[in-house]
Amino acid sequence: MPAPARAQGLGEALKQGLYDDATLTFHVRSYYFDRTNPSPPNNVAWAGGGWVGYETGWFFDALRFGVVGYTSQPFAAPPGTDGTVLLAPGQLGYTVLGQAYGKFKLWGQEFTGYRQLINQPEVNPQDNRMTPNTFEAYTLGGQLGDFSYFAGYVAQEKTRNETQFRNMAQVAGAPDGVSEGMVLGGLTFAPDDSFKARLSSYHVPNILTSGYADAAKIFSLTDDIDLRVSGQFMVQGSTGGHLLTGQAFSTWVGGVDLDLLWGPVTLTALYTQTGSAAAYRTPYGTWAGYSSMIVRDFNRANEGAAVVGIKFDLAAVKLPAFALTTNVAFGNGALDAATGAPLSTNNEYDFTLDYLFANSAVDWPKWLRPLWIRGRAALVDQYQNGALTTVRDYRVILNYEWKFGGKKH
Amino acid sequence: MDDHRDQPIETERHAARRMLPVLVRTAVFITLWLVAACTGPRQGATAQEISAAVGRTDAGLTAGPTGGPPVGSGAYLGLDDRERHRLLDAARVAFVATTNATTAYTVVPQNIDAEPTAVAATPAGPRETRADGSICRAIQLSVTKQEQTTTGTLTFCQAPGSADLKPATTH
Repeated sequence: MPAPARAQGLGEALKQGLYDDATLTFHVRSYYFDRTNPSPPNNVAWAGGGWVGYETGWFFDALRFGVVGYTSQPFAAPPGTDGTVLLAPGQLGYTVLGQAYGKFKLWGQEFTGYRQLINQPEVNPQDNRMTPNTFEAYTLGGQLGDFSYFAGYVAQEKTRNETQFRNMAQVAGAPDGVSEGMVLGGLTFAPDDSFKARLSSYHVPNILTSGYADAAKIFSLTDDIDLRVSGQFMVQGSTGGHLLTGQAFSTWVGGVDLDLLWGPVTLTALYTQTGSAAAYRTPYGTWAGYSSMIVRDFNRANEGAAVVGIKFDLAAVKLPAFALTTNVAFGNGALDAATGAPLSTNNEYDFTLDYLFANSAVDWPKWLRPLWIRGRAALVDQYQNGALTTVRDYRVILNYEWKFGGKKH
Repeated sequence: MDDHRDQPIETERHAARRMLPVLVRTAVFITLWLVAACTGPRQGATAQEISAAVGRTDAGLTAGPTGGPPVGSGAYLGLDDRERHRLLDAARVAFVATTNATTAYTVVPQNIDAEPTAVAATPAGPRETRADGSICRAIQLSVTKQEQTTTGTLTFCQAPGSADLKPATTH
């Protein structure tokens, strides 16, 4: 363990922070996305890029800095198939300084200022394209006994394929000229390994306010079989001057998830229900609902969704490094809350096959071991007025990351 | 998912009245969960020691699609319950292995967009019988999670007549 920086001279502390304990990261990503919609245009592109990041060590055990630049460039991007969100509008490449932060640590609590990642239930990276959401924010996080907390003010967000940070009202879809930031806070209670509960709240004045709660508990049924029982509830509504749509709205979502965990297999059965007054909005990241699938979130007004799924580590059938995940969602009851008219009944069938070179039985060269390849296929059946339309979605994703460090690494 | 749709409307008073019973039930639900958590059995030292062996703090289980503690907290790289279970499963195979082959498992997280975690165990020495009759073996454990690989070696022991495998020392 290195000697405390406080006892060192300035030169030694700088060397330790800028080199010895610093980390340089190169992350390469290739993403092929091919979605066939019921009616044109389809969405197709192949993009390459990733990010380069540098983070210092802690200076005087109290200060650290980091920057991350992101890029996505077209490898194959037909002009008529825009909309994959892999690239900027028009199938154009982009580069953006997504993170640039300073951190201040005191008594184990960390304050982070300016551009950063946030990973909370309703504000999160949504890292399912080329580059993640990042946020201009001022946040405090830490742990107090069995509780950990996160709180702060988020001024702006850069969504996945944008290069500009926009205020949180604009990201939610408010009319031009409306500008607001977000105040958020979250609390996690994890007294032991088998239980976790979270509460969080998000408030964008005059635009949107949300509250989220979930809890999960693991029960050991036998030495080899566990049952995880999870529940979640979230509420959301317009607030203040109701500037998002010009009118008041509110809604809720509740969900229950049962997972049977046995060696290489996890079996999942879950159900979510959305309130009939409005759909649940998710402008700031991946929806936290249990029934968030690859293509659709089952969170339209009055929509219920039953999902069954299986995760299977194929090492159990002599295919180490492969893992198969399938989920099937059956939606029902979705309405247009304004008119009460029924919307399409959607079913979604998702398949994900992962291959981790690190786990392969093949003796790959050491430099290949960080490589991770993922293939995905999703099919959405939409039934309405006796007619069936289908969305087909195929993806191939490669990730490879190098990390370089000073003496510490 | 990534689509955003236009949202219909209803007055807040209407919605609040409709949501009140749901909120009450949710409060009861959460209270019951908290009571269950505080009174339930606690897990033994095994999981903690395995986490320590691979140099990761214990983050507890990851609930929900975007689960996990705040970015920047040390717990972000912790193993969840499932990952520790599978690492222990791999260690059990390595404990009785007749070669030094690595046993590797893949753990897919609840968040459907996140990278799977790779856990592996490799015998790091021969099986030895100790004076008390227990059989012990050093196992090298490795975890690759969120692009970071950490390794450590832990000696596991099996008491005479027992099928349980327990960690003895951390190197």
